[in-house]
Amino acid sequence: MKSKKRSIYSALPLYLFTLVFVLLPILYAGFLSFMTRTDTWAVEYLFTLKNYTDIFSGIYLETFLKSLRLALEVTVITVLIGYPAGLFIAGVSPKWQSFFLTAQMVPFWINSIVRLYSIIIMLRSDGILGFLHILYTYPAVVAAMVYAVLPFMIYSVYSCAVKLSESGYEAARILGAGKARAFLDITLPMTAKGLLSGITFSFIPAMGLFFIPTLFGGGKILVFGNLIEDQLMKVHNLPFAAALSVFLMILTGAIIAVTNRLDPVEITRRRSHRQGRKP
Amino acid sequence: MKKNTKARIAYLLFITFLTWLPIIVGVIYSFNSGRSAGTWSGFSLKWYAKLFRDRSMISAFSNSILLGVSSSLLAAVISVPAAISFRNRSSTVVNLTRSALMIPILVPDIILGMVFLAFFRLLDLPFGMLTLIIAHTSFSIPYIYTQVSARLASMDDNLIAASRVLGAGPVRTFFEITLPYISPALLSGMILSFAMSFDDVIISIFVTGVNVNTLPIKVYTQVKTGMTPEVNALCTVMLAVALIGISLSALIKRRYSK
Repeated sequence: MKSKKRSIYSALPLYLFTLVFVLLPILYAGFLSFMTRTDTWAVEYLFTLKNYTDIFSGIYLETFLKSLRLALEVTVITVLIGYPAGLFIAGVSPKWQSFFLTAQMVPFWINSIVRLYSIIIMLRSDGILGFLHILYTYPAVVAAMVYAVLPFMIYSVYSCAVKLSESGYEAARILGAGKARAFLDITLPMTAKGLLSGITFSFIPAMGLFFIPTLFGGGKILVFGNLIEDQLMKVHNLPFAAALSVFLMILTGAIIAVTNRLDPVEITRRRSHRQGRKP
Repeated sequence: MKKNTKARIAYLLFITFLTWLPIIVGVIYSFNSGRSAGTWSGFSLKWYAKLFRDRSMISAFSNSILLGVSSSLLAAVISVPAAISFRNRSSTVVNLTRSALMIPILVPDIILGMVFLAFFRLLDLPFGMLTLIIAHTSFSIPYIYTQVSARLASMDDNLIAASRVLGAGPVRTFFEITLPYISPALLSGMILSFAMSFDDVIISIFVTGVNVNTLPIKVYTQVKTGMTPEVNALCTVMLAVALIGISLSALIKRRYSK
């Protein structure tokens, strides 16, 4: 009994910190999103739904949809490059494996803005990639975003794929499945958890990383994060910034809930049942 | 299968090359004497001289070190006792806390920054190192907590029971049995959270005061305003530190595994 009581006390700092500096701030932001901004940039505690109706009007809705499209494109490219890379790292010999993991890890220690600056140098008209002429255009923003989120995709897929042996794939091949069939029925479902968490870690930051459009888009391209930044730093409309944040938070929560619900093994079983009934 | 492996390695080498290309370019141009970042005008160390003489850069760097170290230490002090106490327990409060403590790394950084900005204004806290440390501790806790509790899950209960039977108090048991057992996980969690703190722009930019710059904020504002070749010199310095750190940790690992 005594030791149980003591162990409750030892978790007290975490309870307090989580309550005061995680839950309360979020609740306050939720509360704030229904409040009114005064003309003097202050907050008046007067209930309104205006902040939410504003999100769905004109420029804000347009920016949101464009940002959604950008995040989708970034995610698709990141999957196409990063999913095979994660799988392959898990499949090569241990020596190569530790080489590639270290090679992916070292850049992580160099400040991301410093690395992005080098990309700017390369893309400038006198740089080694200057012939592409993409700096301060949409493709440059996409490329820089992919560069920023790719390591998370590779690592998520790798850490999932490294746990599965190749015997499942080999068994499917011996039993007569083609390469594509063996991949779709065995490898993909078994690594889908890593793929889904990689997608979450590319899609969500791609909505918020406002400094990449600022540095690579030449002020013409905005993501949803830029809207929140502007409301906080330039317009000083705290309630509207809170409403935008709550909106993005709900979207994030929905994405995480959906990716957690998808049980890849179950989906495949149902799919193969359907196929099995066909003659 | 063998032919396949060669193609895989070629692909991975190509991806690795792309990942490293900006770093290589940064290192090369850090020795460029010209101001133009794109053309080579001769070898020079002047950007290093400029970097090391830049007082605001040095103070931003030391702020970032102070911030990273103190928030990961604070997060460790908060997470470790809780991870031990939550081990093998599942009440509603414990489960809720387990989920709630993950929120700071699940929501986009911009939301965390916005939420803290509003809350710190409500509390009327002075914006600066204090608010930075609170914000960074909040996202350091999930990294450290998950690493430590995963390690604790594989710990044999008999170890603690034996220590207690042999007469050691809970404090002594913690320092002589539990802490050594979890230390690799604790260390890797702290290193990870330090790296995240050292790299953070978005959250920091909202919760810092006018007089306190961190290194990422300083570099961001400098890059935003124009050409700054000394950032290339910073790239080389960071690469050197990263390589030294990684080889040191590999050396330590090798010594321990012997």
